[in-house]
Amino acid sequence: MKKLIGTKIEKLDFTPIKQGDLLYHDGPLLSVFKDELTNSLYFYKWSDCDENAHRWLVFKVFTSDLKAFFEKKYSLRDLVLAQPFVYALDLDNDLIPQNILLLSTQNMPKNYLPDKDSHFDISDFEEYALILEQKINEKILFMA
Amino acid sequence: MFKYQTYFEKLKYPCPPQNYIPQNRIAYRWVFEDVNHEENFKPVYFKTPKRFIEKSDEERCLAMGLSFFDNLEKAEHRFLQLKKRLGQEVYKILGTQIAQGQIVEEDGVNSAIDTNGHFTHHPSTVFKYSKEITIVKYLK
Repeated sequence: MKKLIGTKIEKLDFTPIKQGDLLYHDGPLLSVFKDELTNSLYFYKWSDCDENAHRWLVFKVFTSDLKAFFEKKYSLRDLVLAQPFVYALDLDNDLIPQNILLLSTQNMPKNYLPDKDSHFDISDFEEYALILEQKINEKILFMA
Repeated sequence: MFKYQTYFEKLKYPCPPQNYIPQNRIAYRWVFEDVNHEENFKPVYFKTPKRFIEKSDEERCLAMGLSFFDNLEKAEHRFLQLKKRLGQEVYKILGTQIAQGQIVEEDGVNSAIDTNGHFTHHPSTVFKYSKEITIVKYLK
């Protein structure tokens, strides 16, 4: 796996509760988690692997940015770059964290970034995307 | 008899699902460089079983199958869809090339084909597809 420049941390600063998968092929590739305490949403994007672990980029996603993503105004790349920091979470095959780094988005390997045209398209995403989109729209409506 | 019959019998879900059927068809699969490597045809459930501890039996059953596509263009298109969202390292998890082969009725049973051209195959004990494939495209 690529060497990363970041700060090693002991654990994530939130308690992730899985909500669903947005991209899937023989296993999750892009998943949504919610912080048990604050209800903040986090994306887990598969990004790298070696024989010992899979690396997930974990980044917070604000409701307004997620709405823009579903409206195709923001790409998945925009959602990543909207955050100043991301986590790199290395999980072994037993899902035990081997390494957690906090890294500046600017220091993230370019190979880990989605393409500029990584917009939402329901035909490419799992059904959970529709559920999430509906929840986001209801939440925005409720907050307005 | 299915290759993973003993595992199916432990599930509280009909596996393979009853609407899966044997077919004769050309099928495409993403594979890694060494096409004869056993890992190329090992279902994800058996690669990382602990990932499925908290999953439903339906999800476990799905993970005991193998992913295929019904045509070359859709196999490549789906790869590109995922690559543009996941980044350039995606070859490490999905594969580096597309294999083509003939699935025959004796090989096992197949799900319906989804809009991405994807279907799941549950192999029988005589599954021969993996021994008679040809690489038809390198994924870029």
